[in-house]
Amino acid sequence: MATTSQAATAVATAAYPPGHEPVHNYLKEPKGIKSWLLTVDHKRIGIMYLISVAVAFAIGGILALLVRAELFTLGPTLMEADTYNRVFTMHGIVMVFAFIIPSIMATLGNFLLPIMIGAKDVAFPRLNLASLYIYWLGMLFALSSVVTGGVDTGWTFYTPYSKETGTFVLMMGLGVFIAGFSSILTGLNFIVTIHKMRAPGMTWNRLPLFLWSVYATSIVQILATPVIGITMVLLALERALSIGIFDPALGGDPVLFQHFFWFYSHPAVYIMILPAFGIISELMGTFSRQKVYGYRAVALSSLAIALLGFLVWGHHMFTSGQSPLSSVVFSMISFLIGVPSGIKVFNWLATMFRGSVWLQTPMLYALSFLFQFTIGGVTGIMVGALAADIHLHDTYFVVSHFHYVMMGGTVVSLLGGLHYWWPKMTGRLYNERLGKLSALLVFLGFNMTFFVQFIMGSQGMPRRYYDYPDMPWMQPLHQLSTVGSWILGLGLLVVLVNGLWSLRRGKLAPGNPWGAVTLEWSYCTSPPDPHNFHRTPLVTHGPYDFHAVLGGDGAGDGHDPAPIPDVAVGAPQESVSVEDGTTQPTQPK
Amino acid sequence: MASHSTASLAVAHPQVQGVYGHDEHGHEDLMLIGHDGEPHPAHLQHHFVSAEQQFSASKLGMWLFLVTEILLFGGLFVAYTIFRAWYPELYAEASTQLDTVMGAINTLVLLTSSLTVAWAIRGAQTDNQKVLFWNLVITVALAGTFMVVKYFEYTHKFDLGIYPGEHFVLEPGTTTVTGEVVEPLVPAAEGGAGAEAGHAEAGAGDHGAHAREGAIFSDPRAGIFFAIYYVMTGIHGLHVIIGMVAISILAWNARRGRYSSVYYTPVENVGLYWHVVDIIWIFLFPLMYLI
Amino acid sequence: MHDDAHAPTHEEHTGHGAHHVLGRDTLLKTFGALVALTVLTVALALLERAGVIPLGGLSVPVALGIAGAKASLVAAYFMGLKYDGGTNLLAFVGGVAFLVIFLTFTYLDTGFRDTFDEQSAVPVDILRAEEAALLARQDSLLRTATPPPLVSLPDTALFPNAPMTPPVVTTPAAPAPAPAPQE
Repeated sequence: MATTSQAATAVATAAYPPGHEPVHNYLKEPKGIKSWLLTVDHKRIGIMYLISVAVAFAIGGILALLVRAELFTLGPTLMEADTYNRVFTMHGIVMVFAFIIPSIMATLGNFLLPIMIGAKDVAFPRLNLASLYIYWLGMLFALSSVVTGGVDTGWTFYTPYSKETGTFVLMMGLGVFIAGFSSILTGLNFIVTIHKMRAPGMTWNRLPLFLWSVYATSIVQILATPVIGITMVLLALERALSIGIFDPALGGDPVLFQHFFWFYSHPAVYIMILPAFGIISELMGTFSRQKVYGYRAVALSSLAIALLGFLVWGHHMFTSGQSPLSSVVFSMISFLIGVPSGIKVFNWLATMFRGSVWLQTPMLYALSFLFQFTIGGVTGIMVGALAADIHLHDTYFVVSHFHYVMMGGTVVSLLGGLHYWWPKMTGRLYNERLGKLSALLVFLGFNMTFFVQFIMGSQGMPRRYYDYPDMPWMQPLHQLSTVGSWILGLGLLVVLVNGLWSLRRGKLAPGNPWGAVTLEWSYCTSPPDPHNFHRTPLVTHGPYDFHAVLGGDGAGDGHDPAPIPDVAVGAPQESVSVEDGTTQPTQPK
Repeated sequence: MASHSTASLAVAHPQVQGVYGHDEHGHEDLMLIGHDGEPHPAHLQHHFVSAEQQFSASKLGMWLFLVTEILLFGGLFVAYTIFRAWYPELYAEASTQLDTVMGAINTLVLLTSSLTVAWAIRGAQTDNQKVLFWNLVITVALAGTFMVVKYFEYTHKFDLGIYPGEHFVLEPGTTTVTGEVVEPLVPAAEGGAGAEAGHAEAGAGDHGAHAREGAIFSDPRAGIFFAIYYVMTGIHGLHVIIGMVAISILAWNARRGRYSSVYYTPVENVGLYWHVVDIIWIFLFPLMYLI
Repeated sequence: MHDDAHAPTHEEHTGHGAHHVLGRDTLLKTFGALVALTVLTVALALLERAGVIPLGGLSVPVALGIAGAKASLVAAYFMGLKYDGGTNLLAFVGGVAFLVIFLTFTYLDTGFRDTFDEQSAVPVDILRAEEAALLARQDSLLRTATPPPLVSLPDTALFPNAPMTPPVVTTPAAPAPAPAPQE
């Protein structure tokens, strides 16, 4: 069943096992800009999402650099206080709604999900394309709000200020509302795809852990996103017609807005981080060369996090004037989230234990994820403690905490995932040296930027402040943080350069450069066929059963881990398939 | 799309193939030749293995969409409940301003439309094109009736000055829906913009100064009830209109014989949507009009 | 493994898995029940408003119960959940469950604001005596130790360049025996 790889096959620069030569390239067939804009191919939609999301990340990143630059010295540095308010608000909105929510789900999720389960496409390909266009439409509305002067409410849109402010909240709220639909459609599509489109033999217990995360995330998207929709509608009506639901002067309740907002936005935190967990699970398995420890526990802890995530939103509101009873309840349940998160971290450590850890770029990112996410998670428990939070609320401590989770967690994991799947997506290998350099710069820059913010926060530096005249002794810390942000920006620039360079100059990638055994590596060409597979694969082993393809004892106990392949040659691929009437032509046209 | 067929190198696993289910319906259906040179039903999209898989996937997708609808309205139900718990007398008083008879008629109209849409699906399943088409047409007509009744309810309230939130103002001297005559406020009875401003600033705690204890026009917070009423029924009405458009398209396609017992997925899914619109009204009606 | 397997046999089953054809009788009976329940709930409300049947606190649960029964009928028969089961049912029930969570936890706040002050059952003189004892203990401890600086002033060990010009904050800057606590 498994064919051994031979270096001397048809293509000179990379080895393709017989029957796995990339005769058709989804990137090149069919040709033309129209074929991209009207495509229903999940891989192309994933790539278009990737480009959109990267643009959003660049915009949000530049805004972040501006915020840090403003704080470099005491007093005004770059901009007016009013401008500063708009800049940090736009940084938050762009990063949350335009970048990080669709970041992993809509890019890697779209690209990988059907391939990983052995399907030809997601269940609703046209809906998938619609979600991309809806996302663009939402961004257009948000952009129109920026052009007319931006918004200064902070990304949370808290009433009553968001009702009173003269800035263009209406268009921005509408943009968020519309972008929410895109998120819902992605989640809906993925759930149905996982339920109904799995290839024969792909049981729930053989689902790659990335897909368990994607599945859990999709559930959150379905259940939480409609609520931000109705919240934005109510906010718009409040501004346009003064309906009074959030206005205490008319008998309404501004804290109710916070409930509505966080009923979405706290679960949205898990929309951001859960797919990152999935990527890390994949990386840990492949680059430790043995089974992911505790497969079932890791899979189910994703679901547990998704469901528990709905019961804790009030921990954002400890100082809002909500009832003490609910504060206590929310605080206690918040601690529970630590349990499934801890299960994941310990299982990843156990996966590496006695494996032959292979320090390629993706694994370096995975390791820095592990370091940063643990810090982010543990400080999350700290700010989830009711008494401590009263002191830390709205300080840099909280800012640092969620950047450790979002940036140090999700973004670093996305970078690791992008490096890992880059050969599959583009058919080219990136430059390993540049990759390692970028991982180092991102790690150093990130920690330099944000670790000092824990100290500043615990010493009382409030978030969203333009200046710190009462605390001039903080200036060196702010400067350290700002310099860190430059290093971080440089690291991200290296990633970009490496990616663009590899598109032109990178070596051709073999089908399975990392010697992984999930379907996208073990069954699919690099880059994939427009229909993913020539024949529907028959899945005969689990996602981390390296022994089934590569040898080793497969026990995952570190005694006989799978061999490390030569990246330029790759590892063998499989070709066991079923004949279900969907065979694709393998000859070039 | 190329339509080469290739020599099969695949291992045959008939028992595994069975999980997708076979097409055993035995109905006549338009067949097209796929990439593999084999005939497939015309409505079967290329990435599905069988019509059965396609149908159940679409249906699950629709159900998930309905879940998002439930949570979308859910936010409004939460707001309704929170404020009801805060202002119970106000709600009781304000709900008397809604016309129970009209609400009840509308409930019956929507229930009937649910029946006709279910019957239309039955028509498709039993290949009875007439039953399918006419039930869809009746459904659209009933939805239209619902919207007309809603229109009369809305305009009547607007005439009385029953607007949502800040703009809620019952002019002194108007006869309300229950037949009461609005008495002037004790402190300031100038009406118009002045009364409106007075409403906004009155705040909690000074009901005593007003004309009649518990009367809705004595409390500026009555605007909250009507805000929720207008937003909920308004968004529901929007869903009714979307449903009317969708069902009209179905009727148009049904007329051209697009649906049969072999393929009726759009009818089934729009039907599910329509029933959820009905279910939401089933809850809105008692919450708003009765209790 | 594929969860779209459906109950294989049912009287009106067509052999299409999820395709269940509703019988004429089932449709009409369901519709009849829905109309009857509507008439019932309206009648109850009107009679209560007229003062004939004072339901009192029961009127809300009764009305919602009837609405729930109607919604269940629509979901079970018209929408075919009774015959689908499986994932579709799970999705629907799950959606409703999360709505209940949303409502419950929000109500935990809005229904219980300003409630903790009234919940102590300990007589106030005992509380006062305990407080006085604690204050005395704090006082005795403060005599032997220097109070930590307030957070608005930096820790000089951590930040050697800190006290440039101490901002105008009313804090005990010099390590001196603490004044007696004010409260």
